[in-house]
Amino acid sequence: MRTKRRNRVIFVSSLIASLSVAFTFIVLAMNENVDFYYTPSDLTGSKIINKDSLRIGGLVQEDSINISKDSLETNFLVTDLENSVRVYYEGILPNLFKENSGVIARGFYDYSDGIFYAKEILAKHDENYIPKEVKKALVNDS
Amino acid sequence: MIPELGNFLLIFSMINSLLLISIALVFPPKDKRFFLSASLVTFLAIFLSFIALEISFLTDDFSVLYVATNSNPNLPIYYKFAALWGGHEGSLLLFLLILAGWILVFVFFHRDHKHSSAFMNIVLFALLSFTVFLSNPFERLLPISSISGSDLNPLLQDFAFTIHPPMLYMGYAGLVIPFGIAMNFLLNQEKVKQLAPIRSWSVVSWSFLTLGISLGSWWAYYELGWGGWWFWDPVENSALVPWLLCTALIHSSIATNARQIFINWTIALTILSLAGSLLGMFLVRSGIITSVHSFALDPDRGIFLLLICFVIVILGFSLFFLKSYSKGLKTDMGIYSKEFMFFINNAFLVTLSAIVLLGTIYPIIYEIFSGGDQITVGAPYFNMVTIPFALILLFFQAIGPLTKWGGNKIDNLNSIGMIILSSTALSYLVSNIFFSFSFYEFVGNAIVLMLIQSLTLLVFKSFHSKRKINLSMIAGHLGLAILTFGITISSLNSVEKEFVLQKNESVSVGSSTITLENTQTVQEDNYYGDRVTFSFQEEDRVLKLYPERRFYPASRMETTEAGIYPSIYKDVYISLGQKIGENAWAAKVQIKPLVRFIWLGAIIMFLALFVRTNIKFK
Repeated sequence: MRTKRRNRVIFVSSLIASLSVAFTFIVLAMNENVDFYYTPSDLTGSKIINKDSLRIGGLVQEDSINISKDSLETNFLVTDLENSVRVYYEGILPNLFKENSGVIARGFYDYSDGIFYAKEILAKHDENYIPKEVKKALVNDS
Repeated sequence: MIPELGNFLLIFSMINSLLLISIALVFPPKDKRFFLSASLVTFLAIFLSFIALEISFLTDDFSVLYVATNSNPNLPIYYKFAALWGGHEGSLLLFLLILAGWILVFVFFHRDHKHSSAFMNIVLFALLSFTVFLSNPFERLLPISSISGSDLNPLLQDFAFTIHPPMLYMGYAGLVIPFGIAMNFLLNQEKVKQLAPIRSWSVVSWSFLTLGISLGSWWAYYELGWGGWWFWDPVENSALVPWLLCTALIHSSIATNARQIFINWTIALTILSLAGSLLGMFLVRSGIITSVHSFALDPDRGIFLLLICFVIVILGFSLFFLKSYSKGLKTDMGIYSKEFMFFINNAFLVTLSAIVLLGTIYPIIYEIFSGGDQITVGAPYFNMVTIPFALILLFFQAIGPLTKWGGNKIDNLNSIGMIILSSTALSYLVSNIFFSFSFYEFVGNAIVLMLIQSLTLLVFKSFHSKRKINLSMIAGHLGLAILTFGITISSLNSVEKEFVLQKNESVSVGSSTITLENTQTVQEDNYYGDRVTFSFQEEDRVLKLYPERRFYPASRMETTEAGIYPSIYKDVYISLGQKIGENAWAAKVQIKPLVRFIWLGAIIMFLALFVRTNIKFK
């Protein structure tokens, strides 16, 4: 009987211990790895957004794409049809990256030069596809 | 005419399934052949309805809306056939066909179960009515019928795609069977032996889920063109959650069968894993998340799927709480016993599935509660949280099979100690000599070595003492060890580089050199594009790789076809980026050691289905 009770105590305490470790772990990991989404108007607005990692979305503005001829550097404007932000990116662009089509960039915004330095560019698989967030931004504006 | 016939048969099977449920629950028939014949009729009706839709696809009947949106006359005939499950409505029909098939097989083998098939039919009926009323594949596009049809998404015009959904659905649908068995048990409170078939059926489901998920991962690896094999995409996650729960279910039901313990837990798991698979369907099909898998559906239809999921969970759990089994429950177990190992296995697997599920639906929850603010949970979250748990679980996977039922002291203490010591030492050496040493490399390799040694010891012992051995378990565990090895080595030792090359220009990556040789144009029936030839030189060996950029005019989509040189030691993987000027291309090369081990391991895990659970060496 005594071993039975002892075992049960070990059970319950190990269960509680592991659950709380798991929970702390999840909360910590979540805080570090959640990216918030903003529109160009949010960034150019008066409220300063100080985050190491965030996402902006909008349309690639017409005639705004500059592609380097000998390196992987690119810069272009992302617009929500009200404000636009210049995005710098070094790397391979996704297949569906083109003018007037939806794009999401992940990176950080430098307030000193007003440029968004992207670590990742996403353009989705479907040509008719506009990211949900972009659609929302466009609907809000029109 | 044929589409109408298909539609009629679908409605017929729905009514038939409803009849089976009501007869089984209200006037249980004496003759046990009733369920068999009723299930056979339902299956045949759905099968013929499936054939009817296939005929519309193969004859390019674009008056059917679903065919018009998912097929094209220029599509090769094989893809026309597979295009049936390229969209939402058709893939649901395929799911129904498989589910009805599983129910038929179950009823054939287990005629003594009074109500199991009725509960399975509740799920079937709910999804059938969803298909008939809200997502009917036979809907006509009248009076104006499209002449050419749009197209099957080019990313899906691929062999792995054509078999990925059926395999995955075999797994998803298979989870309905344990649910039915458990509900029948709760309702009738017969012998615990009635729960025994859960074990084999969860293995069936698990094997197909494993195969389906790994086919999807393989497809993403070569087709999406970015060289990753797992993205923590919501869709992948919603298949991983039922897989983890099903793994837990297998182990829990083994313990139930062997020791009559975890009975209520096994029953709860059957409900949870079915809920996981239905929730996955909701996440994928509702358009609430966007990926290649979601077919931009209107959310109202998605809500109905969520409703089905809730109804089944509520039904399951109310029966569970009203009639949970309480006769002679045994809960006691020693810390060194096999029982305890199964407890750890289940605790960790369920925690892991909760972690993955939380990360997947957190953005949705956050959006609702913050009034529309949008966030994404990145892959680092999943890696950070799941990897430590998975490693601890794998550690116990090496020890668990060596323990004994009802043990009160550690059996095989010496062997376990030896295995841990030698694996750690060997891994320390291997990680230092062959790879640049890192913590995860060391731990990953040590655990793989432990797993292999523990399995070898098991086989050796049973060979020696002529005891029975569970080959199915050996295959499943060995597959997972190989997969873990592939993941460890390929994720920690891959080399990649992005570059821009002119014609005949070279770039060096590690110890090898890549040269852009030439660019050709390609022209096929359903696409055209550029093919670039790269040569990859490593010591004396020269490989040629041919990545492409394709344009599919019917759906106006551009895709990247990676150039891959596969081998068991390593893959060389080149994908094209943007074309720069006349002759220059941006491209990305990746060298991935042992990446094939990931899918090799998965195949071995799948094979666990086909080997005997009890064999004796002679």
